[in-house]
Amino acid sequence: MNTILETRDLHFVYGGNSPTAQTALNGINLTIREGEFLGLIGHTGSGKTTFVQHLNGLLTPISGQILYRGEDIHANGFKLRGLRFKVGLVFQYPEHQLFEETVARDIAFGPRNMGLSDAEVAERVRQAAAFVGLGDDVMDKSPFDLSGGQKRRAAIAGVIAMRPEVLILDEPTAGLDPYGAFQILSQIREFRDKSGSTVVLVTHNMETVARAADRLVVFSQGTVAMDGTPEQIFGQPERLEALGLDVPQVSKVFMKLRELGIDVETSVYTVKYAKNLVETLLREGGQVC
Amino acid sequence: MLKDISLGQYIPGTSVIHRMDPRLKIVLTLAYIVVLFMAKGPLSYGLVLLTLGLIIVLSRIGVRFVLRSVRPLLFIILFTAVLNMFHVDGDVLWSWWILKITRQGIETAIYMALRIAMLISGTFVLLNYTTSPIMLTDGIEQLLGPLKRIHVPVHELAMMMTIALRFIPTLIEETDKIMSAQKARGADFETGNVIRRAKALIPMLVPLFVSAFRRADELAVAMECRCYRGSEGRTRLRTLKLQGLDYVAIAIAAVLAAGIITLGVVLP
Ligand SMILES: Nc1ncnc2c1ncn2[C@@H]1O[C@H](COP(=O)(O)OP(=O)(O)OP(=O)(O)O)[C@@H](O)[C@H]1O
Ligand SMILES: [Mg+2]
Repeated sequence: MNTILETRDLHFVYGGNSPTAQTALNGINLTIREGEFLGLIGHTGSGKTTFVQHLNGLLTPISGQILYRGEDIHANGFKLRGLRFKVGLVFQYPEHQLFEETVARDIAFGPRNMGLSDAEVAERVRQAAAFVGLGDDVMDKSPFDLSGGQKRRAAIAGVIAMRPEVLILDEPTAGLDPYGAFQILSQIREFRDKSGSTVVLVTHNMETVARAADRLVVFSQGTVAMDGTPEQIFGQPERLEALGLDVPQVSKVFMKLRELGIDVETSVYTVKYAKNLVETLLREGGQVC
Repeated sequence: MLKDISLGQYIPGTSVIHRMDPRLKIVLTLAYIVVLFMAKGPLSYGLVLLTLGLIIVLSRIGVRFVLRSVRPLLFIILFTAVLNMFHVDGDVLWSWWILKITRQGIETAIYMALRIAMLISGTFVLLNYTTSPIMLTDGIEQLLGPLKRIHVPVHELAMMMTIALRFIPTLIEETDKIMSAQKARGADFETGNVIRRAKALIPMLVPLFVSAFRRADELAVAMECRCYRGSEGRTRLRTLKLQGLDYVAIAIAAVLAAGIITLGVVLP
């Protein structure tokens, strides 16, 4: 797979030379490959949000480089604004950015900034709304009259409508009900599968990330602490715990089973896989129960 | 970027200046300003400089911050100084066409620049850097207390000020966040003519106002839930009371003020 985004020794400090200066990134080296679904996890304050804001040039590192398809995005002559259409970033609580008179016009804000024709904009808005499951009936409403979950969808659609090559979502499911969160996540996956975009998902929810991501990166105090497939990461529960993180609940169940002397693998992290495993075990012999 | 505009620039600390009664600090700052304008000649200016130095050293905030307080006004200071330099009559040192520089002019310019710089840095150290906004409004409220008799809603005004100060950083942060979010969707705040730029602000202003009103609403409800009813019968958690430290400060300030006035007004 081709590398689409790469960071080299990224450092960032909030509050420059004030007495309250705070190091947020402390040398991040990361390569994001085209088409992958990357889950970014880490304890609160570990620098995830700061990091993703570097990827589309909203924040400028104090040292280090960000390369988009091999080009330094802070080099002279690089068009940052153009990059933002290719690297779409959905902020944490994106519903606070809604401003237009109607939902449709709000979703159209990004595509219109790209300078597309009206017909093209309308088509993209329609498609983005369909992706996030917003019906035609809400499109002409004021975004301020929607429910919290609908607002969130509208805001996500506003970024999807730009058809970014890389879609970055900062805790898109925070504060939603479990079913709503599940739905949004499925829609993001569907978007990925249909468009072939690269997705970076920042989240605190291990269940979510276990189900959706091909690769997990764990941040700790502004550095990359772990990087690997979900199996590799969730196979090291002690390390995760030391970094202030949890493993998915099913993994805990399997670890407990192992402690009880039952011979099961420990890197089980999705309910589906767990179900198959338990069924096989039960079929093989009654030693489990 | 917006973070660099600091309004309530309180620098937390435990120095003697930090611990002084805010009411006293307000009064002493006013006194400092009055005395500063009575200074005249090198000796009294020297003593004011000494006073300022003492305050800065005692407050234990770096000289860097003191200089930073003066920097935004550097242009005005220089402008006033230069204007004065050409304006004052006296022994001519240099002249060209209608312009002339006099010895007295240079002196006045130097004193003027010093005065403004000392005025700003002194006020900043005493009130901005070492007094938290809450303490400051507390102090103002109590100093203005007597006005309550003529039905000035002092407490309400102070409360409004406290809330406003408290929410300035929050709103700045919010503005930053919304701007970033809109930039991520390709909003362009930096280029184009005036009309274009004003239009470009709409995607930022609407969410900002919406959230400010939402916050105001939530805060009002939260205050009412805790039975806030204005100043009527309200007691305070921390009543301000002058401590030993404050009396020492008064004594030192009095001696210095007497010295400056003597050197500046009486002697020359
Ligand atoms: N606007 C800011 N000003 C000053 N410091 C900040 C700011 N934003 C974040 N920080 C600090 O930078 C560090 C990294 O913050 P960041 O928001 O990137 O963490 P995070 O991993 O996204 O956390 P969370 O999971 O809670 O969202 C933290 O220590 C935080 O206190
Ligand atoms: Mg975050």
